[in-house]
Amino acid sequence: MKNNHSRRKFAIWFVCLMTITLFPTAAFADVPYRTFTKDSYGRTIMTQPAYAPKGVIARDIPSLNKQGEVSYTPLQRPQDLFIDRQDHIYIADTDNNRIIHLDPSGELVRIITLPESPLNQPQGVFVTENGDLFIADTGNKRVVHTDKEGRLVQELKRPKSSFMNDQFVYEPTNMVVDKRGFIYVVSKGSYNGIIEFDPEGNFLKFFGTNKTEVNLMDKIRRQFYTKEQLSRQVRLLPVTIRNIEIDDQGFIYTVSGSKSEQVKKLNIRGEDLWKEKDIDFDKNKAYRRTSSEPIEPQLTDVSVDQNGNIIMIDKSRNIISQYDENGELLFYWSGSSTTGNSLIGLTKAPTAVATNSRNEVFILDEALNLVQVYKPTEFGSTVQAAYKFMQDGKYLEGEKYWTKVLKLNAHFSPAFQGIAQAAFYREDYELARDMFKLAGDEGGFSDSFWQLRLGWFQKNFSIFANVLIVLAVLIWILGLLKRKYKFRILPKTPLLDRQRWYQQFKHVFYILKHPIDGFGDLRYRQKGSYISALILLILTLVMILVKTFYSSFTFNPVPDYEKGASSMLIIFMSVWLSWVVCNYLIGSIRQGEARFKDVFMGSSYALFPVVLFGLPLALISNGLTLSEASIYHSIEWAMLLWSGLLFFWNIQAMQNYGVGETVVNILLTGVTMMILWIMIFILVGLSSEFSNFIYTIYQEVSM
Amino acid sequence: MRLFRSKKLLLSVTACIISVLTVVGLIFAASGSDSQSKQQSAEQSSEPSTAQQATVKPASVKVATAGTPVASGLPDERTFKPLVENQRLQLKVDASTGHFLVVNKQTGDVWRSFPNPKNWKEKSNTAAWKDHLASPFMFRYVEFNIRKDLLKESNLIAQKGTVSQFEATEHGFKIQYELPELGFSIPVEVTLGDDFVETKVLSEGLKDEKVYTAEELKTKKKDPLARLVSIRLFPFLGAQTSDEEDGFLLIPDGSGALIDFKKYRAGTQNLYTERVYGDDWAYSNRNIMSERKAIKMPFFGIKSANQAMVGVIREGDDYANVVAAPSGSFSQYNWATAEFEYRFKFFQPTDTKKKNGYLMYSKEITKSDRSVRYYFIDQSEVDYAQMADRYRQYLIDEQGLKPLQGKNADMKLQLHILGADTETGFLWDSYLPLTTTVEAKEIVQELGALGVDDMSITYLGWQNGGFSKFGGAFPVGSKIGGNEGMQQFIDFAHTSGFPVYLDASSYTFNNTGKDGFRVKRDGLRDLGSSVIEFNSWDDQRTTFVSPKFMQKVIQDDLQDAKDLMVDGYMYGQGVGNQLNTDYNEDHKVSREESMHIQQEIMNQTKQSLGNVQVADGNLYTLPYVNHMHNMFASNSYDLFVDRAIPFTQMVLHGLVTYSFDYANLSDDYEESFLKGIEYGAVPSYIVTYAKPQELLKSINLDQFYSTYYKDWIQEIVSQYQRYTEALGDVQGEFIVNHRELAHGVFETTYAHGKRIIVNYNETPYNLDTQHVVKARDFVVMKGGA
Repeated sequence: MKNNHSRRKFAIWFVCLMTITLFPTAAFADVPYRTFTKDSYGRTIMTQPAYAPKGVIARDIPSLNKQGEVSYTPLQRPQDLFIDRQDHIYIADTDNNRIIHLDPSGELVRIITLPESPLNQPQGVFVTENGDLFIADTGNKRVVHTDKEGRLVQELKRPKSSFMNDQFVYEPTNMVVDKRGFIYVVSKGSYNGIIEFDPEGNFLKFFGTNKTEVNLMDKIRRQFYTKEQLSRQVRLLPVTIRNIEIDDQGFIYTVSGSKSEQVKKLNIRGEDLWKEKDIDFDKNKAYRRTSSEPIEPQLTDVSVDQNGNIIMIDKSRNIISQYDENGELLFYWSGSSTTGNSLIGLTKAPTAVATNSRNEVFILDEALNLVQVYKPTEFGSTVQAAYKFMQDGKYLEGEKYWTKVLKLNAHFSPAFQGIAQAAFYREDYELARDMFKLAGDEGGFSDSFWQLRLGWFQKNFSIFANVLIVLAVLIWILGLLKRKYKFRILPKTPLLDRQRWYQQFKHVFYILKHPIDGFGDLRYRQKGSYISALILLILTLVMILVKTFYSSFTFNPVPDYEKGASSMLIIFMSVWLSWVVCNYLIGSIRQGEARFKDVFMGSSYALFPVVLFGLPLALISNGLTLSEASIYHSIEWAMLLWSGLLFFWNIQAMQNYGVGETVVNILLTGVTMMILWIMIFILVGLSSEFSNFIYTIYQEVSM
Repeated sequence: MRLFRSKKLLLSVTACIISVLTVVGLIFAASGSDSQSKQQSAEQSSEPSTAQQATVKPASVKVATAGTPVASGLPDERTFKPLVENQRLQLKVDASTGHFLVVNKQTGDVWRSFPNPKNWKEKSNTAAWKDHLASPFMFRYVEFNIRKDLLKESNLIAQKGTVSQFEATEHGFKIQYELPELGFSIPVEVTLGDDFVETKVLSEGLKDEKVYTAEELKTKKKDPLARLVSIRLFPFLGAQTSDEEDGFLLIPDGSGALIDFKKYRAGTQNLYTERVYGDDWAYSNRNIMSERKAIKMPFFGIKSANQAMVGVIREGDDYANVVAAPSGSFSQYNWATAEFEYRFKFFQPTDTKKKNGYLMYSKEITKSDRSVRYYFIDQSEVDYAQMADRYRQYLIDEQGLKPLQGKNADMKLQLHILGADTETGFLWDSYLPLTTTVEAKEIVQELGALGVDDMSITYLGWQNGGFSKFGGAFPVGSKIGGNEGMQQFIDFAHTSGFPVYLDASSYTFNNTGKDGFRVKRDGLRDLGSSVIEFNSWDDQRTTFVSPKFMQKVIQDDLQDAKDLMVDGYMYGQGVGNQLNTDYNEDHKVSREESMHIQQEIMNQTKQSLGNVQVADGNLYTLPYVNHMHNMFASNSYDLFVDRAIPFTQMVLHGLVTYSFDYANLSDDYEESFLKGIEYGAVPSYIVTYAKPQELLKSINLDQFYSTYYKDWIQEIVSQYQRYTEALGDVQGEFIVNHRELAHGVFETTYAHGKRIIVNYNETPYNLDTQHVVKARDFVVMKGGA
């Protein structure tokens, strides 16, 4: 396994760079970033890029200065980007106090500065269907509404309302306008939520407020602190909303910095449609191994494209992800520029994202002061089309697209899910079952298996029934014959019987029927020994393996490549050993009468129900579906419970305790085990540091 | 008690004596070196008085008066004196600075070693850069006693440098520059050739240590220990402003890229600087590696109006960078040059875990001759196609490349077969066969039956442990057929006339410990003595193998390969792609020696097996290979680089065949196909017999998105047929022209007149009244049409 730290000499690389030069056949990919997705096991899969960089726009804005010459002024710390239905691009050029309007190819159309009431640090821009502009004029603490030509129509200043106290800070950073003309404004630092105005500009209400996030410490504090102390604590306020977006159907998306409500999809009543789904928007990690400490994600903006897919950008980790409209992760990529060269496709500080009618993605970068444009690749658009068809219930078309996706990338396991669903719909249950297994969906696997089993029963019921009847008759005849002629079914094994350990091994059956006596016999009548205990232990280990490898996928949804993990066995052995040691130690302190040998034997004999039930359980699981899960689980529980009881009786009998004493003994053993493991970890850490120290000194001295 | 007290006394007395002795010793040592240096300077001063004899050519030799610093400002061309000339060119020189002019005797075109004074604007350049622009060289140095990792940039004029010697030679001149403040001495030689001028920094006579006299040491504070790190010699040779917007810079980025002369360009920090042949992994610990594609061939160029120049780094290419900057960044000039490096930045760890430490530059200087040749192209209509022509001629004349002959000039499908890998299992790893030799035979037969009549087969993952187990390559994995199976497969392929290659880039690494490899003894080490390793996806630590050790292993295995009758090896990675220094005590190798080792390996393989291929190989591998795989088809997408052109392809077409990334793994299948047609490549695919779900079992194979051959067989056949139809008969021809007809439409012309027009747009393009190029398609126009 892992060598001593001091022995290990390794270089720390940018992992991504290595994978590029790593294998002889992987040349530098044409696209300067790697795209990933996650399969249903949570494993990161590399894919072809879903979006390829198309180019860069808005690098320089030409303007006529007073002499009539063309001078170029770049953007400065632009904060927002908006694309209207005609694919015209609007950029809030914050530090230059202006709004830039570009045509679909990136050429300048006009610069909006509102001379009659100059803008100051505008951070947000929105354009309605009829061409009216809404600008979040942050520096002037207002929202400006102009018409198509740029003439001021209305200003939305700080509303006077009983809902807002004096401390309420009104600094609009962005806003959206829905089809009715209602304006939703995000204000910097406002924890009350989004401020909703009616079309006339009157304050209506707060909308989509986040929950206050209370962690464990706060709860404890609330229990124990006095009123005075609580009043001096910093107020726990709901998390502020950072950004807002609206889609064609009128759903409003808010982006916040909270842990549980990072992105919310709100309907008109302010209900979060994704509340029940508990989507984790943090699933994406850029590299499989980060050499530096984890950075807090900071979702900055979202945008919804023509297919309803949602693109979001994370400024601090520089990750761009795409989810479908139900919150399923499609892709993510990290296009961050590390060495400071500005390359097309790499961003430094992505601050806003927007999509146009061709599903191209535009990302505004406030550090590089430009807009990067990405277009969907063949792979990306095929995946999106496939998802869309599945959403709409058109499984057969969806299956065609998924097959195409698999052809381009055979590892893309969400495709397996899609094909499985389509196959299920087509009643091709065999294919569905196999695909669900590959996709890691035990529910789907179970359903397909149910269908197959039903079909099998229906087909073979007559044969099945006949066989059962014949078997029953045979057994009855056998029983009759046995009584009459008195012969043995199982052959005599005199050689084996003479072996002591075999006798002791068979004692385990006696224990099953008479636990307390049986355990007592182990000790006082030498019915047990180390060898038999070891045999039982090995059998238990084998059974655990059997359970992993032969249990049906329905009850053991573990992918093939993970079955090889030996960690399970090691964990089991170490827990069992530490239990034995601690039990013996506690027992010896607390007037127990057991020797170490007794505790060892007893603990391994108590595992026998696992051995007994392990194989049958694994076998029958192959014939059950999730609907019969209760049967499987109850047998499993019974097995574990029986084993647990045997442990209990083992301690009671061996140490000669009463019931109460046994309970105390068990609790104390648990505590001791914890202490033991803490000590082991400390010891390992310390000794590695110590040996490191010795080695360093040795090196210094020997040089 | 008494004994104890006396012992204490004894100890303290001993300590005092030792410290006194140490101090005295140090003083002696210091004065010793002083006297030594005094002797040296005495010797040197006796030399310069002997005047240098001028040789053959008529020239008024000027011995510069040592001691007068070179004046600032661009030199006045009228004061230049002609020095040497030949049939086409004439060299004029200003002996006080070393700047020169090259005049084309027929056209009158002038090439200057300093920026074109036309359109010089005082206000457009900062004071520091004015000196840079006027100096014959720029350099960087580090002061070890002040800051070990900070580079200072300067030039001859700013340092008040002088010219201490000037000597005319048969074909040019030699000049010695002195920088008295720093104690640097730079000898330079300039020679004129048929159509080129060659500038060289000699290693003999290059001095970068200041020798302090005794008085200086007494008065001055300590010696800053300034040492040379890099030199840019005549960096502004051919530099032009963008006022006329009639030219471009050519940089060796990817397949070749152009930075057009633009009057207005966004950004003021646009700089292209990359190391030739890629970064050195021996300096990669905690150091930043480049994000751009590595430079495979050391060329650069400038075109302005009707003049074009191609710069080729000849000597010292393994220690050089190519640097280029457009106008508007740093100065008003567009320039491209080579930078010679003498010291390198590395991470010196200070603890055993190699986590803490500091960055510094290497103490040892890497001395060798460094030279660049500038070829001048004197045709009236000159563009990058003519520059490619000249560079190709250089490769044929000087680098030993030969035009493709015979069978090598046929269009072959590059069929790569992935044999096997290792699957990490529960208790032990198991071998995961993906394509056995019998199955490979089936694939080849099926392809042949469908119409693919010529292919070149490369087997990957044939090693004993499979694709991701490095070390112990032979015997061939038994589950895919072993040595016998491979031999039978090769025999079968030979009956159809198909060559079979084995992938040998895996010799670069070792993670099994086989072949007698011991990580601590035979692993590649950096200056800080850390073994260079990396972790692959499945937590396997894989070590770079020291080049000398690798050479021995390859030599030992060559006989096994010969017995199989294999046609050759496909090299890559550490043989041909990367160039790493090794500080391993047992197998110490410099970057230059590493290059020679790679060339030896390729030569030996060629002698023994007959053929060599390389994946993404550097220039020095080209004389040995007949096919280059994984060639770059684009540039690195810098924002300030305007166009990507197939310069390397234009240079190599007809000398080697080449292919790009595997078509079935490409980012965009159609676009890669069109690129291949436009750039004159051959089709390449990677297939397995096993279904894709088998590849899921090994985490190292996740880069092979889709390799199941049945999924791709139709595409392979159709692509092969289209390639043959378009390029089948021009494999042995040079590309004589390439240009953009319209946005997204490109035309490539071959030596005998065949033209291929590719249209990347979504709309068709009207070529002329009779021909239309369909959207996302191409059209072939026969020669003479």
